[in-house]
Amino acid sequence: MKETLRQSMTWLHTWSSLIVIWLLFAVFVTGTLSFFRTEITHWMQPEGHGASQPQQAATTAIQRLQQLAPDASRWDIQLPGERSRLTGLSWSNPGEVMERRRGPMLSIDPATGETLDLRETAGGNFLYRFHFELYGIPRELGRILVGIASMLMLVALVSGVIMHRKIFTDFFSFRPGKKTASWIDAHVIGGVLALPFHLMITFSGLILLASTLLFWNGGDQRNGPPPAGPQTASHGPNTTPERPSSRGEPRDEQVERGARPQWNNERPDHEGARSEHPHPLREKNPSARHTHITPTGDQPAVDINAMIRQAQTLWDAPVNAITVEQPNQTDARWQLSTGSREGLTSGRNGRQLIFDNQGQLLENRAEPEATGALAATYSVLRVLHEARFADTTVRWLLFVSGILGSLMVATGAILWVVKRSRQQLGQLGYELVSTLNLAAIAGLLIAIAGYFWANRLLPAVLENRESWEIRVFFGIWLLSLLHALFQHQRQGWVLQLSVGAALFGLIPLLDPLTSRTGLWFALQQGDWIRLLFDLVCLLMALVLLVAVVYLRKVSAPRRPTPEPANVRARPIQEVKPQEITP
Amino acid sequence: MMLILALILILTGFLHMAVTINSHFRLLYGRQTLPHSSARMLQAAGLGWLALALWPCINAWSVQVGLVVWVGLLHLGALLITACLTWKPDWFRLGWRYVGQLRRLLLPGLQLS
Repeated sequence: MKETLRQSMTWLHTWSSLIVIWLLFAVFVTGTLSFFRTEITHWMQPEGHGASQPQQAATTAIQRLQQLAPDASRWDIQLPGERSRLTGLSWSNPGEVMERRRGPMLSIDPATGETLDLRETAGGNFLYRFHFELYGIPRELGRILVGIASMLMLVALVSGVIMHRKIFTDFFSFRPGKKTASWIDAHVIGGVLALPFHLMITFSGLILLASTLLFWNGGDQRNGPPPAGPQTASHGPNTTPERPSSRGEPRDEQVERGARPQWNNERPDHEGARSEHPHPLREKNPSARHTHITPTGDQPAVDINAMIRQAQTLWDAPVNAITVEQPNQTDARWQLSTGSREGLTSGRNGRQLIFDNQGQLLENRAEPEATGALAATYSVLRVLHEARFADTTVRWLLFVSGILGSLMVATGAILWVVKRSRQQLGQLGYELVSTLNLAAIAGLLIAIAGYFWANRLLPAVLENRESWEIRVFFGIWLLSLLHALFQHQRQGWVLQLSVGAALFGLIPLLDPLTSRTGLWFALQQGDWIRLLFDLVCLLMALVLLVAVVYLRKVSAPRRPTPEPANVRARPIQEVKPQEITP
Repeated sequence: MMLILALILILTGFLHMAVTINSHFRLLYGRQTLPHSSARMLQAAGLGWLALALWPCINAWSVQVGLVVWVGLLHLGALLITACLTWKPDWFRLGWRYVGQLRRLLLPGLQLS
C-alpha cells in the first residue's frame, strides 16, 4: 500500500509539474528578480546614477515644489532611501480631474533639486508584470495561465514531499559527479531546504490570483476582504477617502496600488506616466474642489526636518514619503509615512504621522489592526508574497530562497530528461522536452541578460523605448528557441550557457561605459544598489561558467555507459579525432 | 549584527542535526555509528539552538517579521551546511570541533560511539 501511494505520487509529481515547468521556471526567475524591482529600475536609469544623498532631501524637494506648483492642492514626495536614490515629486492642481499616478511625475536629484531626464525603461516592472500576467496576451488569460501553473506547482510540492523516501537522511546531502543521483540531490536541495518559502510563495501567489481562477465569483475581487478598510474611514477633513492608494508609500507600492481600481481597463506600465480615468467617487463629490478657494498668502514656515526627526524617533524607521494636502494654506496637512512595518497582518498600509501647518502632531496612525482572522490571513499572504515588510536584508534572504526555487524547477526539468535518456532518446516527446528545457532555462537567462544590455545600448531617446527593450527580450528568447530546435543536446547547452555567461559577465563592464558615472564613483558614493546589481550579474556569469565547464567535463548524460562518467568523457569529446588519424 | 548572531546560532543547530545523519557522522568519527539515544539528544539540542536563533530575529525586527527572517535564515543556513559538507568537509569538522566545546558543556553525558 505504501509503495503504491508513493508510486502514484511520483506519477503525479512528474506529470503535473512537467506540463507547466517551463512557465514555472520563467515565473520563478522573474518573480525572484521582482523582489528587487525598484533596484533593477535604478540600474536601468543611469541618468540618475550621479545623484548624491544629502541629509535634507525633503527641504530641497519642498523648495522645488514651491517653484513648480505653489498652487497645487496636493504634493507627493517620495524620498530617497534604502531602495531608491532619487527624490520623486508629483502634485495635483486644484480643480483638476483626479488622475491616478503611475509613479512620480518628476525625478529630481535629492541634493541639487535639478530635474533628471531619466530614460524611458520598462525596468524591473516588466519582469514583475511578466511574472504573474505574462506579456502580449490578454491580461486575464495570462493570469489564468500563471494561476493554473501555481496550482500545479502546489500539487507538485505536496506530492514531492510525500514521494520523497528519506527526507531527513538526505537533508544535507549533495553527491556531485553521479549523474542522475546528483540531479536528484540538486532538485531535492532546491526543494526541501527552502520548502517553507516554496509553499508560502506558491500558496500566496495562488490566493492573489484566486479571483481570476474562480471565474464564477462575480468579477474581479482582488481587493479581497478589506484590510485597508478601517484606515480610510479616519481621514482628516481635507483628505479624500476614496484614494487611499497614493497616501504616500514607497514608490513601487504606489505604482501598483494606484492601478487597482480600474485594473481591467488599462495597460500596465507602457503608456507613459499617467492614464486618464477620472475617479468615479471624486467626480461625485464636488465639495472636494471647493476647499481650495482660500489661499492665505503668507505661509508659515514649517520645519519639515523637525517633523522627520520626530517621526524617525517615534518609529525607529526612516520616513519614505511625504504628502501635503493643501500646501501653502492655513489648513495644510503634512503626512509622513514609512514603508517599514511591524506586522504582517495589518494590510497594505504602513504607519503615518499627520502634522498641521504649524508642525504640530495631530494624529499618529499606527498600522491598522486586521478586521478579522480572514482579513489577517489574507494580509499576511499578500504582504509576504509582495515582500512589503522587507528591508534590504530580508529581501536578500527572500532572493536566496527564490534562487533555490528556480534551481528546483530547473533541475526538475533536466531530471526528467536525464532519467529517460537511455530509453527514449530520439522519441518525439523526449526531444520536445529537451528542446523546451534548453530554451526555457538557458534561453530565459540569456534573454534577461540581453534585456539589460538593450536597456543600456538602445539610444536613450527613442520612440516607445520600453517596447523596444521588451522586443529585444523576446527576440533573444525566440532565437534561443530556434537554436534549441536544431541543437538541444549538450553542445546546445554549452553554447547557450556560454553566451549567457558572457552577457552577464560583461555587464559590470557595460555599466560604467554607458552610465554617467563609473563604478569607482559609485563605490565612493555608496551606491550599493548599482554595485550589487553588477555583483549579482558577475556571480550569475560565474555560475553559468561553472555549468559550462561541468558540461564539457562530464560525458553526455544520455550515453548509455556502464563506466564512471569521467572515464568516457574525454574520448568522446576531444581525443576522438586523434584516434582516427593514426 | 543580530542577523549574524542568528545565523551562527542556526548553523550551530544544523551542525548538531547533520551529525546525527550517519554518512555525516562517519565524516567525523570514522566507521562508528551513533547510538540512537545520543542521536535523539543531539537532535533535541539542534532544535534548541535553532529555536534560540528566533530571539535575535525578533529582537531586531518585530515578532511577525522576525519569524519570517528566521525562516529565511533557516534556508540559508541549511544551504551553507550542505555546501560545506559537499565541498569543504574540513570546515564541517572545524565547525563541529568548535561546537563540540559547547556540546560537552551542555550535554556532558553524551556518548558519541
